Amino acid sequence: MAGSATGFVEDTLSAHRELMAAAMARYLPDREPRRWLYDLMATYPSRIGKGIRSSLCVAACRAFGGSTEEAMPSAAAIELLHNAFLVHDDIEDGSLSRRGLPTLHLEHGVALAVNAGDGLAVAGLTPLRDNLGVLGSDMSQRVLDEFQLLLHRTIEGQAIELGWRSDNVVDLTPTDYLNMVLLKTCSYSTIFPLRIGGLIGSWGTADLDALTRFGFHLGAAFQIRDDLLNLEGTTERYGKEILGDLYEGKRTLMILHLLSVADDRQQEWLNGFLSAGRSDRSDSEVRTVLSLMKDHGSIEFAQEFSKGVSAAAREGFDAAFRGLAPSDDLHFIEELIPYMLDREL
Amino acid sequence: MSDDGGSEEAVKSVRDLGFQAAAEVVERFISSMSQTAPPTRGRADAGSSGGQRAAFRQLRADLARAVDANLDLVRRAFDLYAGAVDRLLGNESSTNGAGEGSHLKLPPVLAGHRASSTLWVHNTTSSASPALRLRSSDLVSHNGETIRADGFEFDPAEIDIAPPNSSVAVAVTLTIDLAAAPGRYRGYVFVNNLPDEFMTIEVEVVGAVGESQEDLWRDRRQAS
Repeated sequence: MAGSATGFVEDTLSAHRELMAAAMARYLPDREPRRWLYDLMATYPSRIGKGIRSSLCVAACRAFGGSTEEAMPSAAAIELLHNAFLVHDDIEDGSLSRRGLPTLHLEHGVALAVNAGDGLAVAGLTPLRDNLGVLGSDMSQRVLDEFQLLLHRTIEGQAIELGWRSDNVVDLTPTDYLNMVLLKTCSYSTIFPLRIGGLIGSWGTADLDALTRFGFHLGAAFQIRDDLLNLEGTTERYGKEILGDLYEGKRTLMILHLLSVADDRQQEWLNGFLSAGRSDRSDSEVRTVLSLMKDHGSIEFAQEFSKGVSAAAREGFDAAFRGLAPSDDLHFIEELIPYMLDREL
Repeated sequence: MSDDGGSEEAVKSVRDLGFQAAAEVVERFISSMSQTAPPTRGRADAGSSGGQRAAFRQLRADLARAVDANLDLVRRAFDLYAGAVDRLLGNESSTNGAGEGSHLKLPPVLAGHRASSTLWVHNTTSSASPALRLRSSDLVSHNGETIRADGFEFDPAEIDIAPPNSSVAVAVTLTIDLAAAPGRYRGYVFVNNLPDEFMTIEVEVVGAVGESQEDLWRDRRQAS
């Protein structure tokens, strides 16, 4: 049963990816200067991701009665902006691999990668303009308002996380962590794809607050699982650098828990570890942090905390889509919950 | 948590913490959004039953969609006719009459890019006109440079049928060749089966910033 549900989700994601690949090809220019710009812009989109963000947007639109065509420009804009964020995030985080291959700045240098990220963000404007022809001016304006909120919140979240690391902020609570995750990750990964899809599909009558709740809980629970996979997954399945969050000094739920329960000597050492630059954190130090997390139950804490958020996601789904007619799209969104949150650790 | 063996109570308290902390964060976020976001157009009545609410919501969505689509059509038609009237009024004092038919000005575009707009095909006859296809002439600048007509795309490529006294919107996209020189280009769009329906079309190809300096640089190199 679980296998068939997973198969349904993956088949749907695959179908959406095909649609999205065609849309992305339309929005990514094929002209000079390819070597220094357009080929770079196409690099991350060509590395197959799951495509959950755009799929959520399209499925939400259709679940509320809209069409694929109505959602596609916005879904394409979300994917282009997502890839733009990835390029810049990888530079800001000093990440080494993305979707199983070297990050763009490692392959082409920071300057060209920053510019390619800018190019992807600008390319995301074209589909928003195309909304005018599909949705008319009023609805296009409302979608644009949503994108404006999405962009502001995402950049604020990234600033908070970078600021924590820059100023070595360690006195943080799980609420601080969730707030950062909401802004940085959930905004563009789940909340606004659902809101925008629901807005278009219902032509403004959907309860966007309910979609926000569902999107946040789904995205936050997914992020905690992702952080856990970073500690205990394998590169093949995880796709990113294992233990990369520790090398980068990220404030994950596990680190926050460890800081709250470690003894004074350990806390002092952890503060020094977190204040150092990425290149100053040795393999053995990273292993020590992981070992401390295991000793202090930080990983179990995050696992259980995530289950509480997951439970809220399941409740949130019912509230967000209550009363809608059953459909493959609604089924897909529902099945995404276990697909995203029950990944093996 | 692991220190005391991970008792059920401890596990539950952590899950509750996750549940409550998440709820607190998202409610604060929603509250902040309502202060900064434009107001939503409305929601289904929370007091009605689920089925009625869904049906009502669907009805509202369908109505709003239809109203928006028609308002957009009316707005575009108004813009078109207002533009035509404006030009006619302007032509009364002008020595350069634009002739009959309406005029479509595509947005300025860089060479190698595409310009898009919407034009309207008006069937002003009293009979339905089937299988209408649009075709454009080459566009020509005052210096004689041309943009070939095969750069045009019309969507739909063919209008199955235009009812009598009706207007049909057609998306027009013109791909400008990378080698196109900057300047204003003008031409005509015709509709088969509607001999009186034609439109003048205009596009301005703008040069990239610094292009003139690049030309000067090339000129200097050639001269040397």
